Amino acid sequence: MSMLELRSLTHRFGGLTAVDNVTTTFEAGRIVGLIGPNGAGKTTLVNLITGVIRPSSGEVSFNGRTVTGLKPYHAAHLGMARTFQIVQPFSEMDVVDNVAAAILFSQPDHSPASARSAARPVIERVGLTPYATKPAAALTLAMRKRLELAKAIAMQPKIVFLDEVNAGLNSAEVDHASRLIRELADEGITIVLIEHLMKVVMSVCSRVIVLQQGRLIADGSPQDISHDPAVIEAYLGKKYLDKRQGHGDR
Amino acid sequence: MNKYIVIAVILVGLGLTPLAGDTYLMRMATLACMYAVMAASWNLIGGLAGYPSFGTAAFFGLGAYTSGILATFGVALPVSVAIAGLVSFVFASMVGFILLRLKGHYFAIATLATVELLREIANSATNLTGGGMGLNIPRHADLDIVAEASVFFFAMWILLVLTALACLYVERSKVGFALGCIKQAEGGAEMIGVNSTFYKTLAFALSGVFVGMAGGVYASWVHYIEPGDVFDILLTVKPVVMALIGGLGSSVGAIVGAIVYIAAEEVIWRNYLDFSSGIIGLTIVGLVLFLPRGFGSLRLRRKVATP
Repeated sequence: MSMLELRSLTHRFGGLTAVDNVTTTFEAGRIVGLIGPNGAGKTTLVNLITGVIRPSSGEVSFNGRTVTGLKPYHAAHLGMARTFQIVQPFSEMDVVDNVAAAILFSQPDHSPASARSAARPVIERVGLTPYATKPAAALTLAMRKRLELAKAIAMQPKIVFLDEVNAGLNSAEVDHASRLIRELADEGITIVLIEHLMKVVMSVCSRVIVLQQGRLIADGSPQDISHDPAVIEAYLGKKYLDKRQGHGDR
Repeated sequence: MNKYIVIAVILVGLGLTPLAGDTYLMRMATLACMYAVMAASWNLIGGLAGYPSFGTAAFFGLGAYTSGILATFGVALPVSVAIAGLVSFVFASMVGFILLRLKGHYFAIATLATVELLREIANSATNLTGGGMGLNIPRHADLDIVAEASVFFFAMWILLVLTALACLYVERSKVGFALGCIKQAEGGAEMIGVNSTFYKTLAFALSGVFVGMAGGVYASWVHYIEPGDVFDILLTVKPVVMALIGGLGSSVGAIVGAIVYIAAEEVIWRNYLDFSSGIIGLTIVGLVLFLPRGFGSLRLRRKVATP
C-alpha cells in the first residue's frame, strides 16, 4: 500500500501555477529523489503536503486518510517531518533544547525533562554531541543542517522531506548525511529527498521524480531519469538536446 | 534555582512593608505590586512569545469596570475580583484568537486599538459605567485608614504571589517551551508539532487574567474610576518598560523592573517635579539604547568577556 498519495495537486500563486496537476504515490521505506530546476515547485509541493500552504485544488492522502489542507502541527502529529531549505533553528536555544522541542511537541507523554534526555541519543546519532550545549546560533551552516536532520529524526516520523540538506556541505559531510539517510530508510522511514547534487541522488535514491514548471515530467529509476530527453531538456535546454541527438548519443 | 531565591526574597520583603505602619510606604508598595503583576503578565506574551502586546490597559480597565460595577451591587471584593479575572481571561482569549494572526507592529497596533475600543464603550455605556462622569465604588466596611491600606496592600500582594507562581510555572513547563519555540521560529515550531495558535492564545489569555484582577482590586482601592484613568495608555506602556528594565523573557526580571521603576519614578518625581517626565523619558531611551536586554544582561556580558 502506498503511504502518501497525491491526486491532481495544484497550487497557483496569482497567475503563476507553481504546482500543476501532480499525481503520484510514495511507498514506505523508500528513498525518493525530488529534483527539478530552480523554481520548478519542489519546495511548494512539500509545503502543500505538510500543510504550510493550502492547495488550490487536488487531494493529499496519508495512510489512507485525506489530509488536504491540514495544519503543519497536525501533519507533524500524523508522522510527517521536514527540514527547511533555509534552516529554521530555535537560535537562542541550545542543541539539546532544539531536539527536545521536536520530541516534546510531536509525541505525547513527554515532559520537558524527559524530552531533553530522549534528545541525547538523537544528537549522538547525527554527530552533534560535542555541540550539545551550544546555542543553535553558534553553529556553522553544516552543523545547523545536521541539527535540522536531528529534529526531523527525533519526531519519529513515518515520512521525512529533506529539503536540500546537503546544499553548502563539503564532500565528507555529504557522505555522512547520505549514510544517515540510508540508515533511516532501512528503518522503514520514507524519505523524500529534494536535492541538487546529482551524485547524492544517483547513489542514494531508488526512484526519482522530476518537476519542471510545476509539472511532473518524469518518474523512474535514477538511471532512466538521467537518460530521459525531457529531463535533459529541462536542465540543459532544447538546443543542447538537439545538438546531442544530432551528433548521436554518446 | 537562583531565581526562585530572588523572587522569594522580593515577595517576603514586600509582604513585610505593613510592619512599618507607614501608609505612604504601603501605598507605594501596593502600586509596586500592581505594576509587578502587570509587567510579569506582559512578559508572558511580549517576553516569552515575542508578541509585543499593547493591550495591558484593556484588561486592566475591563477588570476595573467589571469589579467596580459588581461592587456597586454589593458583591464582596474577592468575588468581584475573581469574576474580573474570569472576564479578562475570556475577553483575552477571544481577542487573542483573532489578533494573534498578526505579527510585530501590526499586532501592537491592533492591541492598542482594543484599548481605545473598550475606552469608547465605557464612555458610551453611561447607564452601566457612568460614562465620562466616572463610577463611584462604595467602601465595603468602615475601616480606619491604616487598616484599609493594609487590606488593599495584601490584596495586591496576594495577587502578585499568584502571578509570580503562575509565571514561574509557565516558564518551566511545556507551555513556556512552546512559547520560546514560537518566538524564535514560528514556522519551525509548527513543523515540529507546536499548535502555535493554541499556545499563543493561552499566553495572551494568561497575560490578561491577572491584569484584570489587578484592575478589580485597583477600582475598590481608589473608590472612583473613569474611562480615561483605567484605560490610560501609560498602563500599557509602563509594564513594557518595566519588563525591558528587568530583561525580556524573565518574569523575575519583570517584577524587579516594576519595583525599580516605581521607586525611581517616585524619587525623580519628588525631587524634579518640573522635569520628572523628561528624566524618566531619557532614562528609558538610554536603557533601550545601551541595555536593550535589561540589567539582567550585565551579568551575561561579563561571562562572555572572560572565557
